[in-house]
Amino acid sequence: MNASNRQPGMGLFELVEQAVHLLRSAPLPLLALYAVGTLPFLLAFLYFWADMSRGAFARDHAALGAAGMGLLFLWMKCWHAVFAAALRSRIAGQAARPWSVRRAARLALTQMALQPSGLFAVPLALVTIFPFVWVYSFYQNLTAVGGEAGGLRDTCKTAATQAGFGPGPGFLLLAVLFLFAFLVWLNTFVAMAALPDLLKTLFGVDTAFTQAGRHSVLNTTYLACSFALTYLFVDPLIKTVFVLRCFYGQSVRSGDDLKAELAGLRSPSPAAPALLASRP
Amino acid sequence: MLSLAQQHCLNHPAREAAAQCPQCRQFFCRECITEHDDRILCAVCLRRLSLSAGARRHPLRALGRAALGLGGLFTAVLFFYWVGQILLSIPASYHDGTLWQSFWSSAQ
Repeated sequence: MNASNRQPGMGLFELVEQAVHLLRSAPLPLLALYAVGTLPFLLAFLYFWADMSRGAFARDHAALGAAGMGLLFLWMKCWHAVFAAALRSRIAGQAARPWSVRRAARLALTQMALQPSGLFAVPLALVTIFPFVWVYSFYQNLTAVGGEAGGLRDTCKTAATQAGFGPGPGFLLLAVLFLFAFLVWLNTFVAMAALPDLLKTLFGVDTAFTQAGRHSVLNTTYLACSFALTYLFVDPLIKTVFVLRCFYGQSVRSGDDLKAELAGLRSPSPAAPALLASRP
Repeated sequence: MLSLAQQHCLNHPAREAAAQCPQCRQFFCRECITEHDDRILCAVCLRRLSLSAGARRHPLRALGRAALGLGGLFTAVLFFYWVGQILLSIPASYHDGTLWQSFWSSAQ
């Protein structure tokens, strides 16, 4: 029995729609969990990029900068897992489990031990194309199930099982998400290019961008900024999609989706309509 | 094989069975079973499970975990160090976009 048997109406776009609805109805503290991890990393990454591309003494402190980036990357991944755990509790219609020291340490260890390999594995898989969908899903699933009970081996096993499982074919899901990400990047790039001109035209505010002329968009730091903003806009949606995917995948055995639906019927929670709306 | 309704508790033969332990396949009354990790288990199997979980904890396990965590940190640092080296090796004219400006002006 698979997820598509359990939910005949559940398709790829329903999954994405549910994810969008969940994010839109999510309270601010839940979104803040994501921002706490991501914003320091992205700001540091932009500084690192600008420093390495233009700094006169960048070569001298490249190792120190890389160490800082490594730590902030792990910081971000841990917070992503906390965000995913909170999101999952919301989907299941349950109160979020309290964070004991033991649980936090387990999450930190899981993310520290497994996520950094993705920095090499995902680009390598992209080069070879074929295993990319599985590898990318695996590392997203590590975040999605990272906050659950279980050690390294259990988390790895669950993430690997769920990587090839869920509503809709994996490659189509990634194609849709990446197309969306590309369109968001295009919008961000154009908005970033147009904003200084608009400021000058409407309010007479002269910025460094208007002084540098239109060629400033060819700056690599400018491009890095547009990619960072796109990541900030799109990644929460991707995380939510994979949390939902894992939730439905694991529900085949645990029945959590049915429990959430029953709980939603008894006392409708803010997330319950998102789940009920997908039912045929 | 007799159904659950026809079975009796292994520990209390006078009582009707309420559940079958999925681990040892024996039948038990309500008093002799408990829920653990979303499963109904008998007391003996639960004790055995918790003992085996405790026995698996090796003193070197914590050290291994710490090594894994540090290995992950080292991998991340190595990745960003390489990113930094790649950025450093790219010419400044490419970074500030003047390379394309000169290319465009020569084309015009």
